[in-house]
Amino acid sequence: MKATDRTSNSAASFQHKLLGILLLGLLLRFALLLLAMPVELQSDEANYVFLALGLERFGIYFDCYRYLWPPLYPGFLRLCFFLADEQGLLLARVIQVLSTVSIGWSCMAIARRLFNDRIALVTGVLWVLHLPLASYSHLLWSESLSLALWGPALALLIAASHDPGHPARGLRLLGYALLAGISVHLKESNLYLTPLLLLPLAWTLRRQGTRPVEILRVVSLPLLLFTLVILPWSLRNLEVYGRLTVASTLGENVYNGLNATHRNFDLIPVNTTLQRQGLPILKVREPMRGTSSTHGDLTSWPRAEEELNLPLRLDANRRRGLEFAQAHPGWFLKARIQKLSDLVAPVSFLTRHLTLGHYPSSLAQFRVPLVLWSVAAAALTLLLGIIGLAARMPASPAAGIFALQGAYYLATGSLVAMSRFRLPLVPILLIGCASLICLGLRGITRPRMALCAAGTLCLLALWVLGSPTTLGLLRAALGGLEASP
Amino acid sequence: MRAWRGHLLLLVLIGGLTALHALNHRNVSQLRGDLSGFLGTSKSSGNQLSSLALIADLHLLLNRREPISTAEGQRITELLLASDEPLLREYALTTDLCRLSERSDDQIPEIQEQRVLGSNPLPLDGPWWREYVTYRRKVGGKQVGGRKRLDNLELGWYRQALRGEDPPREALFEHLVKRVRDAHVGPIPRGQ
Repeated sequence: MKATDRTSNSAASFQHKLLGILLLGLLLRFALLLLAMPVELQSDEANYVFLALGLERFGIYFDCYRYLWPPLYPGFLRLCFFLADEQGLLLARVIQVLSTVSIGWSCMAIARRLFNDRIALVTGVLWVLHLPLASYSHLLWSESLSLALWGPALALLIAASHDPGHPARGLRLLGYALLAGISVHLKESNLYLTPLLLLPLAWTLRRQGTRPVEILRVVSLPLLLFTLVILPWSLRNLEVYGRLTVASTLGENVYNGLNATHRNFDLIPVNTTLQRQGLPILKVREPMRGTSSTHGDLTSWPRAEEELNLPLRLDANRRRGLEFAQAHPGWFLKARIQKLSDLVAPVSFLTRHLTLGHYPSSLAQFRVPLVLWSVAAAALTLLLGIIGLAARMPASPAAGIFALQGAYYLATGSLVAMSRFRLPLVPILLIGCASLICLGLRGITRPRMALCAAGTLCLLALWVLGSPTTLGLLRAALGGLEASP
Repeated sequence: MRAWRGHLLLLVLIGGLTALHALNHRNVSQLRGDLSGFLGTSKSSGNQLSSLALIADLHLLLNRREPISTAEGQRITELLLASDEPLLREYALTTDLCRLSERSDDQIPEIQEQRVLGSNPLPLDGPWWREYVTYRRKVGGKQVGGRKRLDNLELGWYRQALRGEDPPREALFEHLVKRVRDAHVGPIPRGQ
């Protein structure tokens, strides 16, 4: 009886602490929102708003000519305009802040399932303090809402994969498919990842001696629901463009990523401002620059503007990019390394906004502490997260899920990279960090130690490689460019 | 078999959605038929489509794989710009039609550019501002007329214009001049 009491007391105490952490996270994010208003629209934010206005004015969803974004985020902004007119964007930001509770909760839920209450709570505290992640809650990119759906989806998948005999397994998998499907309508990057992440569950079932037909039955149900969720939008695209597609950003990303010019969107806006002000621009390391002298003819290929149909135009871009990569294998490999370096650079859109003067003085007055906090959060999360995951991740289906997710985002990030594209990995890294903080490195096996060392060395090498631009970006963020002549 | 009931239900729903799509699908000839009143290809006036329905049908016709010639795109643009309906005139300035427009030497869609920026002095009133934002602040680059992205101030004026109000004339003019002055000149500095 006493043991039961102790368990229920401990569970209640954990719930109180969890709620306290979520409240703290919300308070910090609302404080950021309050200080950040009125934050100026920047690049894709303005594009999302434009698409929302198109929906409102013409009742149709336009493509962006160079790509077709999924419809839910512009639809969400359109709804906010409908509900609050001129204050629509403020409403959108408030809803995004509220939705971040889901990210914090799912990080803690996953950490608790994999480790224990203490590591779950530390994960929650790290989520509160991760300033770059927090800042997306008041920016009008779809990342925050998308993660608010993807986080619980992942938590449900891990719960189902860890305990395949649980009576709620079917519902958990359906929940995963539903949330992942909706999140694909916000940001299509998880489109191929969603089915892929069911492999560790299939593997676990196979190891338990489940018959192949039964495995097929278990895994195909969420896949069918996922298909059902993305089907209406795909059919709409079939009707409009004559192609059954969910979203088409690949052609434009290939144009950006498999082309002679290097594109890192943490860097370009800052360099544009530096150039406008007559200041020297930031350059990637000399050996990483693609030049015709080292790689043959490295002339940029143009977009296939002559193709009027969007999917055909994007297909043509993709073909041109692949041909370009095949013709320049040396450049291709070098450029991938540079892009991975861009992906893990400890900068963020918060530092970029501070650099470019998009925040009002209410927030920009805290420029130096915010930049230092944000850089420290990004760098430590990457470093400690990788070490923690390598050292402490239990050998379980979740390890397979994390590894697949990591490989998937490294692969997509090696096409076009910037700090924003590593955001889906942050929740996983936070769990790794918390496990390292709570459990340390004592007693880990040699292979695990080797994995830690390899991960750390790769990260440090990528940081050193990217240091000329990263340090330049940080100097610009600390000083700010908006007040320069 | 009971264990596969969920699969069956989902397959039926997927099949139902696909069948619904197939039933409602209109090919290009059917779309042209529905739009014949507007396109002037039919003598009978037929049922007049509402502006929104007309835009929805044109959106399908203009984006399909079957190519629409630049000449036909121009003709549709002219028909829309000649309309009494502000919404149709604005639609003529969207990506759907700008990408079909004749291009000037610097690759800008010519009819739309003339429509929005060809008059002197510029009207700078609410209806003009809606057209300007639709044309100049669109996503997609200068090939479809997009230059610079929408900012907060411009969005506020656009919301006012949707309510039928005019933006403040002088402030709008100064703002546009400033944005042109701040426009990036030269190649994008990518740090290579």
